[in-house]
Order: sequence, then C-alpha cells, then structure tokens
Amino acid sequence: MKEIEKRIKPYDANFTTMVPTAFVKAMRTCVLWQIIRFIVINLKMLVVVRKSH
Amino acid sequence: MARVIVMGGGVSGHTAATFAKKWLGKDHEVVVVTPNARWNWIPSNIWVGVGEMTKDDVTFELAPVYHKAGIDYRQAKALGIHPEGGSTHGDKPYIVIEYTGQGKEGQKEELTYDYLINATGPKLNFAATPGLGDANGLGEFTVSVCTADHAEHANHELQKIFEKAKHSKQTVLIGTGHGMCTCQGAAFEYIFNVEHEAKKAGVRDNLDIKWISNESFLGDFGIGGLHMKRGGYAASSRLFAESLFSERGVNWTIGAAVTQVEKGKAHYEQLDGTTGVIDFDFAMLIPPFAGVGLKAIAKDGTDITDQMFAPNGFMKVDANYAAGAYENWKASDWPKTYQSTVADNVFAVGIAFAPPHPISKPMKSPSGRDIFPTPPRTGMPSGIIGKTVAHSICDKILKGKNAHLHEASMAHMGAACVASAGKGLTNGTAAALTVYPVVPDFETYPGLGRDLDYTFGEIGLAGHWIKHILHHMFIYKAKLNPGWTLIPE
Amino acid sequence: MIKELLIYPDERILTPCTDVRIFDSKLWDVIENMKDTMEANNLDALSAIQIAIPYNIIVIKHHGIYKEYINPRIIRVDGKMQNIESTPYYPNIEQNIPRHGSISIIYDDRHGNTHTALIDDPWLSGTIQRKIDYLFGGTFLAKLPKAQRDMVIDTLAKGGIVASEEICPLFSPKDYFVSFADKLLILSALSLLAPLTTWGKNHIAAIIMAKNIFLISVVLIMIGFFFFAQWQAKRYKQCTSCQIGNNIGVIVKRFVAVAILGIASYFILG
Ligand SMILES: Cc1cc2nc3c(=O)[nH]c(=O)nc-3n(C[C@H](O)[C@H](O)[C@H](O)COP(=O)(O)OP(=O)(O)OC[C@H]3O[C@@H](n4cnc5c(N)ncnc54)[C@H](O)[C@@H]3O)c2cc1C
Repeated sequence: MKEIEKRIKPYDANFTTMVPTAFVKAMRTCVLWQIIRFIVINLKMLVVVRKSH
Repeated sequence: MARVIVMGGGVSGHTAATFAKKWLGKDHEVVVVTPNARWNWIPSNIWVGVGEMTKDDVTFELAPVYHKAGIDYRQAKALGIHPEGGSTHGDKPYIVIEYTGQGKEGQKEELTYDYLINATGPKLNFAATPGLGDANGLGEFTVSVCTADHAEHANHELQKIFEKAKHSKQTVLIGTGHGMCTCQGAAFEYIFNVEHEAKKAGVRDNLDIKWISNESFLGDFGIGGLHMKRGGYAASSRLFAESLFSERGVNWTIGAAVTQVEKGKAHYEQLDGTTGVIDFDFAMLIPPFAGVGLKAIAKDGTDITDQMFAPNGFMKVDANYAAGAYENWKASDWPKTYQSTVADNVFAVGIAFAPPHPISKPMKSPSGRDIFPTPPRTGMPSGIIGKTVAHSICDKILKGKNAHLHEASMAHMGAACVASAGKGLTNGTAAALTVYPVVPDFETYPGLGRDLDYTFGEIGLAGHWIKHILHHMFIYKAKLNPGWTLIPE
Repeated sequence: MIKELLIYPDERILTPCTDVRIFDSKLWDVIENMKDTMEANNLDALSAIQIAIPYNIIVIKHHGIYKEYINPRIIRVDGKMQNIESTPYYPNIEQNIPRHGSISIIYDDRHGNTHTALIDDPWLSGTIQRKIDYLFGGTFLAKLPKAQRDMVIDTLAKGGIVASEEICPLFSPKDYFVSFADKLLILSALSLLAPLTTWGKNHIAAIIMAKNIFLISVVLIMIGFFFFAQWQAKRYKQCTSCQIGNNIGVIVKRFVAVAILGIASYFILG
C-alpha cells in the first residue's frame, strides 16, 4: 500500500480531499528549489512587514 | 522627569519598554513590572513541547538585559490600577504590585506613573472548561504549550506516549479546549510537529492523531480564513489545510467546543448540536484566553474595573465596542491608538487590549453555545502595537502633552506568520503565510476584504529555515544585542 | 433576471467567496437571479459564483422545491460513495467523484437565521458538497487524481476552447540563458586541462579564478532562467515545454554539472 492509501481509511473526514502529488511533496524538501523559495518568501514577507509599519 | 511603567514583559511589553528607554534616554524612567524572571520567545515553545529544544534555548534572564538598557526591572505582578491617584499620592496615578522574586516575594508596593502601558497578555483560562489543565496551568488530564514550563511538561508526557506506542496503539488529541479559543495556529504547529517526531521515532503507525477545533472550517485560524494567489487566482486556506491534514494522516473534528475533560476522555459539542466523546491517551488542548484580572479603583476607593475593562478582563481602548451584529462590523471599529477609554495616559498593547469583536463569523450551536474562534493577536501585530504606543508616549513626554498619537490599526496591518510543521535542517517543513490586512477591510477591498497581492501561503523547507532564523533573530533582538533596532517586529 | 453562467476556462470560478453579512433585498435579488438562471438552463443546483457573484450562497432544487443555503459549512461527514457528477462549468463532462453519503451542515436562511441540518439523501449530500467546493475556490476536478484531471482538461482543450495565442512558442528567449550557461560550463571544463600545459603559476591561478566566476555565473543565470521561465509559463498555459517540471529539469542538470566541475577542479587543480 502506498503511504497515502495507508492513511486514508473509510469514513474519515479526509477521504474526499485532494492530496499533493509525489512531485509536489518532493519539491517541498528539495534543497535547491527551497533555496529559491527561501529568497522569494523572505522578500514577500519583507514587503508585508514594511507595509504594516 | 517622567516615569513610564510597562506592566508585562512579553512580546509587546518588552518591545514597548526597550524602545521607550532608547528614545527617552537617561532623563526619564522606564519601569517594567513582570512576574517572570526570564523572557520567553513563545513561538518556539512548540519545539520545546516535542523535545527539539530545551527551556534554556527559548528563554533568557531578563535582569542583565534590563540592567544594560537602564530599565528599572521589578519582578512582580501588577494587581490594580488607580488611574485617579489616591492613598498617599494625591492626584498622582499609581499601580499596586506584588513581588514574585528579587528576594521580596509577597511584598506589596505602590508605584506612581506618568504613563502606563498594560501589556499583561492573556490569562490562560483553564478553568473555563472543567477538567482542562488545573489552576496552576499544568494539567492533570491535558497538557499545554503556552509557556515554556508547560511545553517542557508536555514533552515529558509525549515521550511517555511515544514509548508506549512502540508496543500498542495510542491516540493523540490536539486542538482547542473551549468553544471560544484563539491561537489555533499554535495547536496546528504542535500537531504537525508531533506527527513529524513520531515518524522520526518510528512510532507513527501506532499513533492515531486527531484534531479538534472550534473553527467552522479547517484553515479559519481565527481570521475567517485567508486566500492566497495561486497561478493567477485565489485559493482558500481551507483547501490548503485540508490537503495538509489528509497528507499527514490527521483526522479532524471541527466546529466543536470541548465541554468537559476527564481522564482520557474529551466531551464535545458541535455546531450542529451533536455531542460526542473522543478517547485519548495524550491531549494538548489550548485554553481560552481572558484578561489577567487587573482591578481598577477610583480615587474614592470605588471599583471601576468594569469601566476600564471589558467583561473578559481585557482593557477597553479606542475601539468601537458598540458595533453590534456581524453585519455591522467595520475595519474602522478596530483601535488605532490603544489609549484607554478611562484615562488618557494609560494604553493597552498586544493581547491585553479588548478587541471590538471577533474576525471569524460568530456561530452558535442549537443549544446556544458559542463556538467560533476569538480574534488572535499574533507576535508581529503585538510587537508593532507595542512600538507604536511607546512612540506616542515618548512624543508626549518629549514634545508636550498635546503631541499627536501614533496609529497602528490591525485593519491596516499585515501579519507574517511561519507555522512549523516539523523541525529538521533538511527534512523540516513550515507553512509560511502572510495576510494583509489581519482584520478584513470590506470597504477598501470589496469581496474578500483582503489585498490578495500581499496575502500568500506556501509550505516547504524554506519556511522552516525562516522559522529557525526568526527564532535566533528575535532572541538576539530581545537581548538588545548590537543592531537590535534594525530587526523588524 | 437570467444571468450568464461561467463556463470553462473562465477563471473567475476559482475566486473564493465571502460570507454574506447583510440579509436584505440585494441578497434576495441575487437568489432570484440564481433561480431564474437555473430555470432557463434546466439546472438543479447553482452556486452564486457560477454567475460571477463571489458570495457564499447555494440554491438547490430538490423534489421541485428550491432550497437556499447561505454561508453553509460542513461540520460532520459520514459514509463514502462514488458520485457521478456533471456541472455546467465543464460542459458535457461527467466524472465519478468521491463524496460523503451523509453530511451535517450549518447554514443561514435568507433572513440571517441559522439552521442546522443532517442531510442523508445521497443526491442532496453530494450536490451540496460539490457546490461548497465552488465557494472555497475549487471545482470538482480538484478531487480527482492528477492523471484524470489532466485528461479532462485535455479533452476540454481539444474541444477548440484553447485560444490561439496560447500556442506554445517554438523558440523562446529563455533558450539564450541555457545556451550561454552551457558555453560557460564547457569553458570551465576546459580549465581542468590546465595542469597538462606548461603555463606558469600565475596563469593557472587566473584560469582557476575565471573558472570559479563562470561556475557562479551559471548558478545565477539558472536562477534568472527560472524566473523568466515562470513568467513565460503564465502566458502560455497550454505549453508543455514551458511547464515547471521541464524547467526544473534544465536547472537541475546544470546544477549537477556545476557541482561535478567544482569537485573535479578541487581535486585536479587543488
Ligand atoms: C504556543 C504558542 C505559539 C505561538 N506561535 C506564534 C507564532 O508562530 N507567530 C506569532 O506571530 N505568534 C505566535 N503566538 C502568539 C504570540 O505568542 C502572542 O501574540 C504574543 O506573545 C502576545 O504578546 P503579548 O505581549 O501581548 O503577551 P505575552 O507575550 O503573553 O506577554 C504577557 C506578559 O505579561 C506578564 N504578566 C501576566 N500577568 C501580569 C500581571 N498581573 N502584571 C504584570 N505582568 C503580567 C506575563 O508574565 C508575560 O510576560 C504563539 C502563542 C503561543 C501560546
């Protein structure tokens, strides 16, 4: 059984929900990609912090 | 020489006191009255609660920092405010404090002030739900992660469960412990950190992890949910949250008020009137928040607490408390200067001020029980408000009583929030979210009430790095190390 | 009044909706328009966003009676079923969607009074779930496995809906990034041959310096490439060679080359 199938049992609240694909999940911990995201998220957060002061 | 007293040395009080001292210099006095000897970076308590950090990692001694800054530090708790003066002080307003340390435990003292900032944060109101925690906070049946001590205790109990899970099935219940809790974010972080640690410990398969909360949909977070741009359109935090819960195998019960806790059992009522019981082996349920119970006394000795404070114990400030029903709520109801309604030299910042109304849609079960999140006031708004009020007070002292008050409304303020979902340098994840503004402004942004260009969310390892860096950055800042003023709130 | 229905690929359908706060004649007009639109198109259920009104309103015709659900939330679910569903947003498409057989909801009526209801009629339950998906900015396709979702989108695209400007460009300026990066990589690789020459120490040091600059440039160019490609992908939605997977592939290959060259030069050039 796949990891995800193991978690989804009948009569659970979450069986009709979309779950991310393996690719999406791999990207979440892919160091190279996350370095790029790190820069982007920091910039976005700085914008919000600036706008709030 | 003027004296500014700050009651409460938490996120907002510490920010206000340190900036006030910096701007006022040696000519004026800044006093901090706070019962704790150590400062705590509260968001990292989550990691203490799963054993990834120790109490020492998330706290530091306040005395040396205040000594260095020239702030008069009283390890004491404030009991009451006398905004009109009285006793031996004539018309001079004063507060009554009771020491909890510095060798003067139990002693009372009266301190006069020119300006007072109330930054006393929340009282963790465990008593609101029978069986939730106990009067001292450390629960008999459930644990909490709201203070560093609670978090240490939570981890202690959690490790026992992990040990048992090596041999038998265990159920973990995490969420909110009352119909009107806020701070779902903290429970959200905790549940995913527990899940992550369980995987690392190799006991995930024997752990049934359940979520219970008072939100009417997953991803409400007390701010009515948020919407993020995804490839040109907006996606709701509900889809984001449901997808994360499913992926990590966490079951949820929503629209639920925990009504009573017994050993291993949580009773709840849901918005549709159903009642039920969840059996658990370990439960971390966030208590509802109330004001810390400060008293206000007029010069003639009459109790004016109900004029100065809302019924929930939070201090009334320049907000519109008469907005009435949901349909009348406006962004402009939210306070701007945080000046008390009773005395113009008293301000309340952070969690201590009384919000005019919730942000999420108020809802009741058929039995009449309120079940919806109360508005959160997270770290970033708390810090910004603290700094803004310090600025107003300093201007009044330095430029004259009529100086213009600075404004910082949560309806014009964003929040940047990083919610950890597991700690680890290469396998950690966190959801990085920003919302702008925190309080939806339906007049300026018709429809969703928020500016989608500044609202976004994403989950990944990068978010974890940011969370970890923030931990060090904020502790560095709070210790007033060189360059501390450059670090934003 | 009969309103125009949003039909794929109108992206307004993905707008999440807000709660109704004021229950007055404006709301009632919207509800009437929804009913008129349902009558005109012979529909059994409609979300307000399907006529481009971003509010949490659902109207369902069940056994000939109109039911109005305002600000609905699903509090509890029970049972599962596979529901054959279609929706006017994706014309002529039928899909088997996983749904709950029975749900418990809380909602407001047109006067703002709150009600709860246990819905165990499978048709009604499935329909409410589908309509609530719309309110939160999703369509039923979100509930399908990715392969199937792509297939549906593909079928719709072949139905002639794809606009002509969305055709994939054969050549794009982003190829300049790749070709320049590759040239730098080749030059860096050549630098590894330096020890075979009889050049002096200074020369070799200069070559190593240049090689380092080249390798760092490749990384920077690839970051630039990424943002450019992302921006471009937004303009050409149907273009498979613009998709993020391909772009990441291009980037990862170059990063690996940089890493190998870096390590090799550490051992060869010292
Ligand atoms: C587990 C957890 C995780 C969180 N995570 C995040 C996060 O990731 N991001 C985020 O933005 N926010 C987070 N928050 C919220 C954040 O911690 C609060 O918004 C913030 O601490 C509020 O600041 P405050 O100054 O109002 O209150 P506090 O920081 O609670 O400070 C109140 C202070 O007043 C003192 N005090 C109490 N009674 C008295 C009295 N009678 N007299 C004098 N002093 C008194 C207390 O000892 C305390 O020092 C989290 C909260 C919790 C509980």
